[in-house]
Amino acid sequence: MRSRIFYVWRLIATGWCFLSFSLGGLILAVLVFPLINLVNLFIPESKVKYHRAQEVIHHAFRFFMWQMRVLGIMKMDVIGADKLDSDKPKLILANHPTLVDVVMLISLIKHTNCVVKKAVFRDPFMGGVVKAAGYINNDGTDAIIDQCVAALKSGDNLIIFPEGTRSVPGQDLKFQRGAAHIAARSGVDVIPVTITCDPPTLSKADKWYHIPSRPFHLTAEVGDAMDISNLIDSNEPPAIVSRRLTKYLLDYFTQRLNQFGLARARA
Amino acid sequence: MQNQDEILEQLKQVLEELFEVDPAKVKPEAHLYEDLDLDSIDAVDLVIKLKEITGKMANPEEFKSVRTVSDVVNVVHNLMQK
Repeated sequence: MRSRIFYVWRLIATGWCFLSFSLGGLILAVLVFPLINLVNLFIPESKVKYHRAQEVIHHAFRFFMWQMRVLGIMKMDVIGADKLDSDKPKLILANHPTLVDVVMLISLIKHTNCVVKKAVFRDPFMGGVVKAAGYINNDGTDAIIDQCVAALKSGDNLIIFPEGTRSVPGQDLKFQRGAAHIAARSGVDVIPVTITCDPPTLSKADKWYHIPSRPFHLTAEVGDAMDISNLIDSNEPPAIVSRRLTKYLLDYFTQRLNQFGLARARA
Repeated sequence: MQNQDEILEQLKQVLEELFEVDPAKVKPEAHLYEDLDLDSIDAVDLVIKLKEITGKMANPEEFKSVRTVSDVVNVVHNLMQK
């Protein structure tokens, strides 16, 4: 009986989280970002454009992750979060099991850019947020590779999910090669973040009300900056370099996920 | 004038050289994206390479409908007849 009540509670809380996410986006777009634009007009941003808006989103997402925890929907563990703190521009690569991965990552990184699908830019609730933060619009063309490299070179951090979309539960990871192109061309530090979600939820196949039988446990393991310089030979065609680098990245994430799987089985 | 078999042989060389694609996989019915693991960035490289070889630029519209190896062979064949 108690677990049944808790289930209904989590269902309502999950619905509230979805609703509050959209409402929060609208409030930021209508009330907060116009204020920031006004501030920017008088006190220009010092280093990188969009940093103030990105920082507001960072704090909003920190609040959102906290809200999900206190409502009892989820637990969260982050290992090595300090590796995301450096001032140097970083390319943050992560696998993508759930809808909230990007929310969690932005909640851990004070200023960062990310690639957002075109539909979100037209979304009445989130459109204003992604525009104010200068996020990169994935219009389906290869021009986004150039935009990603330019963002990193301007000093922004950047989050990329090399899978290009959410993982399919139970299937091997499959990476597109865009992330490798961006890593090779930008030359910035590459920080891998391995994300797991147990039990799996919020995948592409799940609707919001498909909540798991118990609160889900989200973990993020931040790895050390990857040493990929020996994989990048500027004399080689990018097509070959990106293939080699993609295989390296795929092997890394597959190995880390297997480790997590084993650790969980033993626990 | 090259016939379609010769074009296919040349395409095998090009795909191996550019993208390390195993020539044994390059069959007429093979799908460029699914079977040979090319992506849209590779497709741009391929169009440029085909231009170098044939001396003629493939019409981008014509190349958009290309899905399989035999589609590429047909595009090249048509180009060389122009």
